[in-house]
Amino acid sequence: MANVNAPMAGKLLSVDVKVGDTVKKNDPVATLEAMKMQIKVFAPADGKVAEIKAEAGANIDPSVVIMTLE
Amino acid sequence: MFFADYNDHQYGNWLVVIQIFMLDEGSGNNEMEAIMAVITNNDFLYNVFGGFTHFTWQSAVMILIGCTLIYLGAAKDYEPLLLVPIGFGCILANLPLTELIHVPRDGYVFNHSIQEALGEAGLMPFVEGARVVNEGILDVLYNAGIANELFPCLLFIGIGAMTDFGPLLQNPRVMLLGGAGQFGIFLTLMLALAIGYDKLEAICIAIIGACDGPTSIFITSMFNPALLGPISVAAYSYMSLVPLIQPPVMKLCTTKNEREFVMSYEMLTPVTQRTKILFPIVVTIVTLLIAPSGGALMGTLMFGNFLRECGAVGRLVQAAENEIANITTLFLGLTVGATMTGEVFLTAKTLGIFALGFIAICGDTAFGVFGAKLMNLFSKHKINPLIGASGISAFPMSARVAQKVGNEANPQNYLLMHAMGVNTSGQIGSVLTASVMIAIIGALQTMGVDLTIN
Amino acid sequence: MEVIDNMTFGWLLTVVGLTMTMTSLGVLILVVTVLKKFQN
Repeated sequence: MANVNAPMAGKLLSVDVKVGDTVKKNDPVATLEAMKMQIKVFAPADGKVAEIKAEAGANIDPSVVIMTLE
Repeated sequence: MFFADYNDHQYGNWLVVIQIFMLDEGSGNNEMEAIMAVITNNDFLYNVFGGFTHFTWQSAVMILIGCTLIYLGAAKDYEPLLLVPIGFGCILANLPLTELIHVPRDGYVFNHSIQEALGEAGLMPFVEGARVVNEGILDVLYNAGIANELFPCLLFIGIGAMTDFGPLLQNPRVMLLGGAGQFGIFLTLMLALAIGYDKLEAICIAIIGACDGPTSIFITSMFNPALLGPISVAAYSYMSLVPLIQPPVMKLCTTKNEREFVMSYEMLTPVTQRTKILFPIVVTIVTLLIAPSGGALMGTLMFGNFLRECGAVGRLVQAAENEIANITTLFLGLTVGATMTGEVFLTAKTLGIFALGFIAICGDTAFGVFGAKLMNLFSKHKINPLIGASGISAFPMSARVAQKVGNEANPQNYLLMHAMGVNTSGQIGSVLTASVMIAIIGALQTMGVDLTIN
Repeated sequence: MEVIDNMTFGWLLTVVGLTMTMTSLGVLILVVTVLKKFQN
């Protein structure tokens, strides 16, 4: 069980995986825009996407969990 | 040079015309012959097609350079907002006889009515060998904003209004890295002096290392306006090349292990709006007490930022970051481009300036990285040395570079916000360094030290 | 007019310039830290 938190404050552009997808550590799972730069968010560990908690377009910061992996 | 003969020829022609018409008076049907005599006269042809006959190889090379700058800006997206006006200004200034701008300034006296009166009394021009000319439209812009350093300062209001010092305030000690990033300036200064540039020339070249266009233009127009063209072009080209120049230097100065170091965002303590509002005021007071002569640069930068943060003057912020910044950029670029005439630009000095400017930016990057490593030796909160490279003024390119290089080394590494803090401190650092330099030179001049260019 | 050597000039500017720049930045860090203490 691992939470994927937003790495920094910014706007969530898109979540690039679906619930049930299997991801490996360092796979891109979401795209974030901060300071007019697009940044990929990479999975912190191997696992399966259990739940997506944030919506594309939302403003997020490091306290926000984008998705959980199991 | 050729301007002078142009005038002589012009007067010569009038004499020819007058003589011919005086001779032909009364003969009437010989008018055709008279006209033929004029248009086959070499002097006449020489001047009527002056655009061609005064075209030199320098003009050709400079127009080519102007076109290259426009191409780089318009087609390749390297700082288009500046390189396009600069390139066009360069083309305009190098077409002969357009009389739009007169550089180098020492060679000309401008023809205002009071000067005309003095001229008739035989007291003009004041400078030996200088020619009295009418102001061209670009002369007007030059006198309005470059000669008195106004344009770069207006630009700084816009930059201040666009900059968010939030990431810096969250971790204020990275401000030291904004200072470390300026070491390259001094390295370049020493190099330039060592290879024989004059004192004031060396300062203008070194300031390219601030990686800050307006600061470079400010310092150059203050100390050595003849170098404006090459220095601003070098500064803006290298700024646009930051994403290419920095990564190799950063990788050279760090081990893979160091680059992989993950910086968390927990060490950043949030700041309130009140702190953000007070910051520009505090910076203004502190830095201007230390270096009062930097008032024009630091004052405008912080004024712009205060407008942004105080939240009461939304319209002024809009104006500062859009209208004022855009209009100033346009005029600044065009005028600076127009100072690039062949005589001034096509010299070995220009090549040297480009080489030294390159060293300056590599030096800044390396010193920034080593500065960060040095900080790690003394503090318990470690930082990733890559963010040190952002201690230059090229904002936000340099912070993005740090994010990219860090992310390549370790996908779990998100350095952007940390690097932004360093990057904004780099802006403060470069303005501060420039102010301090002006202060020191001012002090030397009041002491009566000879700094003139030989 | 006093004349100073180019390299002397360079060293003077480097030493004094760097010291003043770093000192100002140091002062700024202190001031900001103090400011942040009072922000709550």
